[in-house]
Amino acid sequence: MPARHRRALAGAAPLGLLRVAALAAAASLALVGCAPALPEPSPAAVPAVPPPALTIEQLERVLGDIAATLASADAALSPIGLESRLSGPALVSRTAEYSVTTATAGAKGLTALAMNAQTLVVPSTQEWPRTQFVVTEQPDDLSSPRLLVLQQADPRSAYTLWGWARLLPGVKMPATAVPTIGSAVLADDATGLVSTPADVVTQYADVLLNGDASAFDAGFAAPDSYRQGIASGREPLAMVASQASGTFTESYAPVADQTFALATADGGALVVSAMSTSSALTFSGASLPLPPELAAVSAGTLAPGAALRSNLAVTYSDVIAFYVPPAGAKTPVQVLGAEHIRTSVTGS
Amino acid sequence: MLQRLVAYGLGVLGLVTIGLGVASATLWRADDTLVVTASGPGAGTLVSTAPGVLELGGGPVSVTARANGGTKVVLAIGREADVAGWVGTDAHTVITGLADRFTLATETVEPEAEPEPAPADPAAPTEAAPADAVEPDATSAPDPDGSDLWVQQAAGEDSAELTWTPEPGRWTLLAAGAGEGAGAPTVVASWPQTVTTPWLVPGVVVGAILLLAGIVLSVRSWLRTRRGVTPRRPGQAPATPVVVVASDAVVPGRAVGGAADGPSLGPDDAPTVQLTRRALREAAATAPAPQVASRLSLRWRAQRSAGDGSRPATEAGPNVAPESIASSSSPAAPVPARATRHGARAGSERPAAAWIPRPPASLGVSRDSNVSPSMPSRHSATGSTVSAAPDGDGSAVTDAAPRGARADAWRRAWGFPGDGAPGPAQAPTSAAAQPSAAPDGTDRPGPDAPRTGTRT
Repeated sequence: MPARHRRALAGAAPLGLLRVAALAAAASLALVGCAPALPEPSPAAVPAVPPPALTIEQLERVLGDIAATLASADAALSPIGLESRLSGPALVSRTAEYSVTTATAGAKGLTALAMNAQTLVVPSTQEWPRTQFVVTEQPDDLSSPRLLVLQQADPRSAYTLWGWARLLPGVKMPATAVPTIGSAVLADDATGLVSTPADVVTQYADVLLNGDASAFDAGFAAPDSYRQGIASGREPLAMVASQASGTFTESYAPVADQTFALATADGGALVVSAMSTSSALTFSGASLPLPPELAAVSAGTLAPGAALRSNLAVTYSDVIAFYVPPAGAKTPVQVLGAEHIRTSVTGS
Repeated sequence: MLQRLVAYGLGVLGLVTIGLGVASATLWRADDTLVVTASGPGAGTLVSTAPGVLELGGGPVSVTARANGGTKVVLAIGREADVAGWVGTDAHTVITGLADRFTLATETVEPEAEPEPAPADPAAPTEAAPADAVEPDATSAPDPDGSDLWVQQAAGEDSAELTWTPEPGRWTLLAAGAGEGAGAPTVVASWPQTVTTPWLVPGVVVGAILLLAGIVLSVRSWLRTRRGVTPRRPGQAPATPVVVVASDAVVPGRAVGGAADGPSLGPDDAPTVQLTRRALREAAATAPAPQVASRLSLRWRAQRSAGDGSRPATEAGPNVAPESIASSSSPAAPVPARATRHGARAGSERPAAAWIPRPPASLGVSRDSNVSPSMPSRHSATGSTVSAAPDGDGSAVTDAAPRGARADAWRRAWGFPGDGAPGPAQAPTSAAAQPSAAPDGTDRPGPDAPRTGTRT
């Protein structure tokens, strides 16, 4: 080996080697010293729009529970246990129906309530109470599909069936957001619609009362079948009143704070409201045998077939669903569905 | 030796690094699951998580809740707002993240209805919390079981367990103790971890490289030592003086080729030959004018060759040898009988094999066989039985003259002064001590004088 190389090896090279060795030692230490840091929670960003209140799976579970509760109560024709899954007009109405069904031995049947959802209108909200709509498939009796209203009053409550409405013949439901996105919740006094939801209900009550003479008649689509039915239902009683020198009055009033609205895809709203219809008939000089279906909802004060001599008061629980177009639309408010169930009768 | 130490150090370091790399993937391999626990008194009967906690470990989380008092435990997963809504203003514990690798960090939330608890004092609320919680407990703890809000839930006596696969959105967990005397349950969350061993391959590779480097270095060092070239071995070379005969004496020794006996055969396994005293005595006896060259002479040679600036130049000393061979080929006869005998053997069996094997490799003898005597010049110092036989010639004597001529040609080609001129010119002091540098051997005192010496 040449001397020069020898010297290089003896002198410079070892220095370099030492350096390499030092680096290697440092690297070895680094190998041991590294430990992964603790993971930190990194939640998804808070969405600008609240997510749907219920997932489809949750909703199906809720509907299944309601259906099961209804089924067991229906079988017993007893409202016991209904409270867990029914509330509002639905509970009152169903209870009345049980009474009527019992009194009439099934001649007056129960409103068929299938829980097979066809359309879900889920609110995107994080507040309570939460209300949502479900359009069911057509029931087996080929009656019209139902618009179910589900509601959760507070976080620790269960979703209940608050009410239902039969869709009117020929009605087409407005397009709504898919349930995985959710529909915005509109307040009673929400603007951006041809009328606020609360106003729509009040106006419709006026239309029901005054018919074509109502100032708001133009605001609603051509007389819907519900309105026609109400009007035609008044006639026999009005006739009785006229024949028996009595009076017949019927009033329609929205139930306070029982109007719920969800936005539709076109910026309009689906509005569902509870209304109360009160019919008061007074007469004299006549005897009115009380039909069993009326006696059934008298809370036991009136026996079936009892002869009324002076007056009869009937209260109905109504659920009416509207489509309210967005502001500026030329189309009128449309009644989508309604339910009208006699819930109490008093008379003498 | 520093170099050898470094080599060994590298080797050990390489092994250690490999070991660490392997250990990082075996001994120190992280657990397959990340298991964290939130226990402690807690406030009320409810434990919830902050958003993101369920996704802490990535992948599906398995949550187990164990009752602390009470009989029923409920676990539920819901949207952040739903859980928060359900908990409402009750006292509860919020799991905010990881405190360490085994513990969940928690935070106690007092019932908002209570205006008294001063948040300034953290101890006071925790003291007050159980008192507040006890009252509802006495009646009945809120039971989230069966709420429509949950997308997933589990309930059980004493313990409950569920597995949640992360979904988009802000989902949180609610754990609640229910029943008589319920308290906040202990929550254990575990995530399967995809354990990586990032240090295994680098560790093994780096370690292998280090180890290899160490091996290579030590092999080189060993080879050099074996070749006797190792420059610094203080304590050995000076210890035994190098006995160098007059330049003339060497030449015959080399030229004779018969000198290639034991020691010269030895280089393969005995790179350095330390002469016994007897050998020295013998050498002294045979050499008419033995001179003891200190290690200085060797060093001088090294310096000189270093100064020559070209690889062949480093063999300047040896280069002269052939020519001295040429000039002193005739005196080969006086070579001692022993040397002759050995030479005969070496010549017949493997001429010059003693020193050829290695020198050609490092000295490029293949370019010119005449260069090869350079090694003999070194190895000739190994004793009186120096092999000076050029490779393959069988008899150095017969080839001596042509070789000398060729050596001249070689020198000329490489720009060396011819005919040993440089030797004397550059190192007159060593001329006597360095036979290879002696010019033409005309003034060589003793043709047959063997050189003895120790090279280390």
